[in-house]
Amino acid sequence: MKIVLVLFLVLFVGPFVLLLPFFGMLGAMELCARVGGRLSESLTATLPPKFGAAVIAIPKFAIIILKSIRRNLLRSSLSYLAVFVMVLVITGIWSILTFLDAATSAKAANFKALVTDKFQIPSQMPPSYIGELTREAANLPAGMRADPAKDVMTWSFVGTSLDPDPSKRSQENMIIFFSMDPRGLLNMMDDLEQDRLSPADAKQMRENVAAMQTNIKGIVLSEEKLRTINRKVGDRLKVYCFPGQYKDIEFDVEIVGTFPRSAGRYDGSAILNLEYLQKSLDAYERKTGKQHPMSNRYINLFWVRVPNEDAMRALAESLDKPGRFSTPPVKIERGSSAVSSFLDAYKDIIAGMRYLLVPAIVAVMILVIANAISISVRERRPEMAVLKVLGFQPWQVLILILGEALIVGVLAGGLCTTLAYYGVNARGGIQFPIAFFGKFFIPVESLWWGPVLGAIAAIAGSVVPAWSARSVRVSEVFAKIA
Amino acid sequence: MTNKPIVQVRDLYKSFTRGAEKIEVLTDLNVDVAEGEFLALMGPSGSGKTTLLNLIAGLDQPTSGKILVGDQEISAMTESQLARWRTRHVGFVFQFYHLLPVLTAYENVELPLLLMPLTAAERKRQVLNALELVQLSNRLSHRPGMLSGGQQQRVGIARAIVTDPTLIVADEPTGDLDSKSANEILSLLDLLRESLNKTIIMVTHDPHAAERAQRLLHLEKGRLVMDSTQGEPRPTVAFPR
Amino acid sequence: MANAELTQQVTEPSRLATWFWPAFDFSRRFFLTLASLPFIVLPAMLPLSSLLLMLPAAIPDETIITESHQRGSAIRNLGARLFALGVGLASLVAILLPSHELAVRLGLTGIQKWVAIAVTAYLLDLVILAAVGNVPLRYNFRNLMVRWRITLLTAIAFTVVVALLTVMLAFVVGMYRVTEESGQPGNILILGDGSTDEVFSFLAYSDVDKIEVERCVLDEDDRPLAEPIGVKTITLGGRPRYMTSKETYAISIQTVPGREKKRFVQVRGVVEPELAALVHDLKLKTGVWFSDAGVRTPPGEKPGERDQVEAVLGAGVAREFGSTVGKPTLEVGDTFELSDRTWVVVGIADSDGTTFGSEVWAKQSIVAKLFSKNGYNSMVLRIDDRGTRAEVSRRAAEMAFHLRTRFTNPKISAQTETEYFNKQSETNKQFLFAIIFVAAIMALGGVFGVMNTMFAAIAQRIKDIGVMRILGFKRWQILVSFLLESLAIALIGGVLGCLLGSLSDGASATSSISSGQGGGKTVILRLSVDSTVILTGLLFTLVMGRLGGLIPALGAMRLKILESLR
Repeated sequence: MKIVLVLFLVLFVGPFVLLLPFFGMLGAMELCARVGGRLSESLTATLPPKFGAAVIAIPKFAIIILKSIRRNLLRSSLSYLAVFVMVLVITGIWSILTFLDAATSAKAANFKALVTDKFQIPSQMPPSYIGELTREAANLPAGMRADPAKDVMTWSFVGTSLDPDPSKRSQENMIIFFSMDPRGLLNMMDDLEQDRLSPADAKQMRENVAAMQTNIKGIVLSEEKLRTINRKVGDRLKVYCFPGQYKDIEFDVEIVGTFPRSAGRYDGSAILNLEYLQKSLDAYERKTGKQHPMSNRYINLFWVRVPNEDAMRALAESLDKPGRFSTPPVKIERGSSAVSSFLDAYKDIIAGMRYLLVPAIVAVMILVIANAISISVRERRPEMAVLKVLGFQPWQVLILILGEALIVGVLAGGLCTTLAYYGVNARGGIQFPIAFFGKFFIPVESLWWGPVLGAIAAIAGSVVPAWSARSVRVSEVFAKIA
Repeated sequence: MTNKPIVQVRDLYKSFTRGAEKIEVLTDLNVDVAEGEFLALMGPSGSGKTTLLNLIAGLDQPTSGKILVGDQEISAMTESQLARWRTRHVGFVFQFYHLLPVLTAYENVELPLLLMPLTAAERKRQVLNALELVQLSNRLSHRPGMLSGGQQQRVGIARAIVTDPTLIVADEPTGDLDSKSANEILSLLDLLRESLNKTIIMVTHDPHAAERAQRLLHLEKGRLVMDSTQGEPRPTVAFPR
Repeated sequence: MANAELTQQVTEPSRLATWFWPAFDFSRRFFLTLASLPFIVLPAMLPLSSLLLMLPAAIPDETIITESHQRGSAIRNLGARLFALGVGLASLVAILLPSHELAVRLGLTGIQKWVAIAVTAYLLDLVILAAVGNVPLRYNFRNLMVRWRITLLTAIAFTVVVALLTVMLAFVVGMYRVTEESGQPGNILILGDGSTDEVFSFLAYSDVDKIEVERCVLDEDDRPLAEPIGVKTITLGGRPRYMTSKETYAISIQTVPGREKKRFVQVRGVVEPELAALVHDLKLKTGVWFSDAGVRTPPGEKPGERDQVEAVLGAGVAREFGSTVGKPTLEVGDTFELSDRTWVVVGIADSDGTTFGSEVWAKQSIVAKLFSKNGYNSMVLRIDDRGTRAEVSRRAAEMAFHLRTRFTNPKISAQTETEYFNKQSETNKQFLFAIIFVAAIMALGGVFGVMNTMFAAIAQRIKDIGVMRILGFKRWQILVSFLLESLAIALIGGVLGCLLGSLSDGASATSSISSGQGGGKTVILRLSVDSTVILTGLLFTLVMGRLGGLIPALGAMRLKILESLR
């Protein structure tokens, strides 16, 4: 039943809703043109004649173009909808590609570097590395060194479930934690840096961190995760670690806060205080008399912010010193390189999206417009002839056709990306599971992608029919009358 | 000649509605056409002559009244039945020829035969016969664009007779032709009547064309105002154009 | 005075009226068009001949088979309508039945079967219409040829859409091939308790021996089995051996030679390669398996630190490594660097189309040492595999159930390999949905394109339509002829698209498969343009052609004869 309702909404109400802004814009443009026409008429008295004629011509042309769009509203609407939908798909694809490009592009300065196992993944480094790596980073020469309080962060991935039975695991009861020092939340997480958040959101994060520091069993989840597991802030939970990883360890946690809504990237995320993990491993040892197999392997990633390339190279050298970091040996690389390596598996898919899919959709858009405009021109050949008889220049006839295509194309593209930017981002972004990215947001550049795509499709599609309209012979007007 | 009437029109009335207006095109028409007659329909524009032609040819239905062609009451047929009937019983000749521009002369003439249960060999025979009759056997594979007006009309006539129809119906057949070609066409129509005993009903403005017909029907404002047979004294009043 | 007022009112309609009524009228027409879409789209999917035969049920005046139609009693009318419906349904069955037969004869199953049936039904439909319909086909095709420019332009839209669809489907089929063919029906994958993938799984060395000798005597409902199930034994090297493979798995990071980039390499350490090969049904394409030592001393060196690790490469990873050093593939004798050691290729496995094609195999002891692993990650058992595939699968399922529920020393995770790889195809499904979505969007473009072209073609040929109706061609014959014209355009474009897209067959591509619970395996697959892909492309183009051509053809059908000639 729900599916039928959704289908109904999408098929019937959807196109209508999408068309309303189109009609609105057309109406507004016509209004402006009319008003502009009146104004310019009164202005022409004060201007030199040729200039005045040009000034009047613009709104008049606009009105003619808008009227011809109105004439066959059904066809214009169909073309508009087709372009709208296709620009939407391209926008989605480009958003994903843009984000991936940004994540893999190297910044010049002040970037995050990642220390991981040199030869294999996943990295499983001993806790002693935290202190040692931090010391190495803090002992770099001035201008290169890192501030231990603000520029380092470690992550430990802990998979847990609300149900101890592994066969009952599902999205609704799994929580995969980033176990870390809460301070890192303030300065080292992409999109959560204090100076990048709004004042209210920044405060929310500071409160989260304070709560986690006061209560080491406190955890922070995203609102969406909260919804998925059906809990609220303040609830206490017992979670059981996956037996394949932190076998026989359980956590008694309390939900002390959530990520600000603007941090959509962290929608599936959950933060656990590293101290609690460490205490739990110690407790295991006391209880069973044996070290937990993960005791010396629970640091998965070590992040450090470096001011420049030289600093990273200096740090790399110190990591390679014989005997220092050997079990396991580690390497340092830019965060963006690390992401690149992960995306290597998807390189063919990404290339396919970029070089096959998008051009193909653009080609189809152009063909749709070409078809619609050529029919429109064919229908109005006698009219074009009449215009020429009345004195319109060939290039002016061309402009009429080009203008019609441009208005429909640019409006379709522009309205589409505007809707996408505000609508999709508000809804939480595009869900496309690639590597470890779950959600992608539409960047602000999309606001000009739409109009440009629409314009390209319009011009490319209408150039041939517009040229043919331009070449209509005046004698044709008489052929029909006879 | 007292032939059985091949066309019988009884109490024919035809009107159109355009918006809120009702336009009466034909009123109170009663006509018989004998087999083998060459009949010309004349009258000023708006007199209803083309409408009458269309009704007799089964292209339209009367608002009321009856039309019988060769014992079949075509005014009571459905559109589908009319289509079938037209193929076998009516041949059309148009002022603007209306040949399909992408088909050759041969293919244009063959077109109506595709609707009849004939073998390919039979079809070929009939097409060639028809084209020979109109003396265009040497232009079989020419497309209309490569033929003169007169030649195109001859193809049109060949198409009209290829199915051996009961009736040949012509709407201003010479309207678009020069006088020489027009004469050729009219002679051809004469030939069809004499040698094949075809019944021909022709709408025309052209007095020369009208002269060739045996019988003249004059309509004005949807009514039959004069019905004369050639050879009998005719009113000398010139018909208004 | 009153007159003047009246005139005033008549000559100046209110502003509201000029805007409101056209808007209302447009909305009404727009909604009606949208609302009528399902009623057009659904019948458009039926074979046309059936649709035409059923037409009199909806439009009583149109008779297709019978000529006479008696406008008469309501009962007669109803009878005529039911008759038409019946005949139509009968013809539908008459078309679908042979299509179904053909598909079954060819041994097709699943999606392939339904796609084949649909395509056959449509083509059969076309043949029937062309042969029996008395449709003036020569006229339509001559028009296509005379107006070849616009025909080609419209067809290009189909070519683009179908070519892209073919390539995308070939990719997904390649992925499915990998996940389907990587699993043996008689194999059971053992992982550590609670693990869903090999990376985080741990099996202690001492535990695996107990698993090997385990026998299952009860079925899933605790009833005794006719025959107990156990690990299959074979003779290898003169001795009886259990068919098990104990494996250590690691994902290694390799700096791509000559570039700044890094890539991940899947390394599998096996204890006995010949045994492992039998378990996984792998053969060597070239070379030999690695030796017992697992390392080889390079010529001119003394055994020790500089020993090279012997490796057998999967075909895909051999190609991948080769491409970065400028060769089509690495060969026996070539070396590469990994984990600070030099490895030497001693053999290449014939593993295209399986996940093993993306793996580097070496001796387990060497791998464990190199990657600091002190246990196995996984173990694969082959159970008794006599009998049909279904029997073997059932037995494997029972054993897997036994091992994961009753065997507790230690607790392990056990599933049949088929189950495991099926789960890995979660990503495949996501890709498939994405592809379908994108293809549908692009199909819109193709449909609009052909719709516009046909509208224009019909507008140009209104006189021709009038002439044909006068000559006696019926409405439905006009409908069919224009529909066939649009289908011809669709087929031309679509076939070209299939041909273009099939050029991608066999191309190598990388992708990642995962079960959706995090983690993922890189696989190197080959795009596979198989018959399902081609048939789907053809079906897609036929459907697009029908959808796009139906509405204009309906318009052509409804023209009034006399108006056409004006």
